[in-house]
Amino acid sequence: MEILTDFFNTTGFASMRIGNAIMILIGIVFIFLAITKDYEPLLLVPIGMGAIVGNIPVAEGMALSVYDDGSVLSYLYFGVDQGVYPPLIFLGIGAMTDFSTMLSNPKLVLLGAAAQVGVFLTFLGALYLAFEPAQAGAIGIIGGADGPTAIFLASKLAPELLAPIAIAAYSYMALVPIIQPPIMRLLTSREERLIRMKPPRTVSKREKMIFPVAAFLISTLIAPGAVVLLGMLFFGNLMKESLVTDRLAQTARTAMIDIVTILLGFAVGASTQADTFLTRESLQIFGLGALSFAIATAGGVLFAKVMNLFLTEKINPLVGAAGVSAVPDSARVVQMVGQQEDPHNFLLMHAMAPNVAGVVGSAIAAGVLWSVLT
Amino acid sequence: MPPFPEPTGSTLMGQTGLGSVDQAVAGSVPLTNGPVVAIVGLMIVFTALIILSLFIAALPYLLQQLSVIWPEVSEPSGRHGHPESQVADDSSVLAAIGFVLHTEFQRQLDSQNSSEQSS
Repeated sequence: MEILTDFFNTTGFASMRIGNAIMILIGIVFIFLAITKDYEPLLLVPIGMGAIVGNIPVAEGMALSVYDDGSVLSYLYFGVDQGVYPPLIFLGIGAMTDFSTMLSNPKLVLLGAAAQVGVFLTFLGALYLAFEPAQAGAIGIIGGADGPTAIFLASKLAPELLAPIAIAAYSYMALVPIIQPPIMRLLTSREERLIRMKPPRTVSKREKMIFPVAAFLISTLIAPGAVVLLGMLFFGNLMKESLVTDRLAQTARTAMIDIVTILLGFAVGASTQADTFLTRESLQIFGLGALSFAIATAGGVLFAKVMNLFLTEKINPLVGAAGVSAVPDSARVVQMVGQQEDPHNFLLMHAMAPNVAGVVGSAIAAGVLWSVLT
Repeated sequence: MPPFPEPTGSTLMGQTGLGSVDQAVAGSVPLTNGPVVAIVGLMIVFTALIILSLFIAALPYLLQQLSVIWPEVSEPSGRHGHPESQVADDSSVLAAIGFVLHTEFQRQLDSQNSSEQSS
């Protein structure tokens, strides 16, 4: 009987706490949402399963969790903790991104900058809630709507908040189709939502080849903190557009980004142990993250309306909402909201321009915050 | 209201990669508080993307000038890519390896049989 009692004490049932049970439940909800609602399944399934794995209580002395030195999970988490995975994901994103729409309509790039207002206002909000400046910077970048960038900056500025920031960033990215449409409708009139935009011009191969190198130089000379993320993003794009490295680009945008996404999602999920995750700060981060997304969306839409005051060829202000860099979800949302007013209005290609500009903008914002707050 | 961060002694312009500009205006934007960081940070993002936007707008004209001395061919040599850059055709490679192995094994078997017959 004593042996059985000793054995029971080594099981997860004996040391299970209410917090672990809540986190396991959250993990199951993530998986459920991914499967039934198709919300970012490529991220929520690994994160959800990781959350379940990370919250199984283990007997003391067994190095199993991501925070135990020498455990297998700690090696997987190394890529998150040291910011290794995000640049690799950016490489894959670069290899699959077509900048043609942005090159054909350069004024839409500014919408990608306008949406970054969410990052900096949330930074102020986090300071107001008494977070340290470095923590506030890491929280603010959630408004960039870019999971890898949020993880990268959190790993550099506030590793202790990495798990809630990563979960908040990816959760809100998954909720883009729910968060954005009400704000977009609230800030635009029906006439504005019906605006049709001129089809984008054809972009030459030479433009596409020159762009990644030139854009990298321009962006990183102004914000050198973004050199890692933007270097990998534009390197990936150069591999795609140069036409002489098809094999490398193909690997970067398929196998490599998939492997890194699996490792990143699972490791982030496994880092959400109840004792470090279920805190008041996490709740504040989730609140600020939602606010950040809303402000970023509003910033893009309102800036598009301001631009229309000076433009002869009007921009559909809905396109401004794609300035948050949740690629390509926010562009899809623009298309969806636009087509609800006019089923024959195709805004997707136009929305991709601020969408990819938003990726560049949020990486620059992260670089600025990293440089200033370290 | 909690205080905004204390000065760090750094400057926002000092964070740019433009060394000469850094030297020239160092100290012009002290990090005294959060609002300054937020406003100047947003300005840096806007500056970068405005310059990027202007470059993109100018690129077709620059390339038009460039095409006078270096015309863009309609069928660029890179269209089909460098042979080694193409995605590997695994089935043909495997077939070739299989053929070579089969030939080699057949040759070894034949030579073994002939040596056994002669002995």
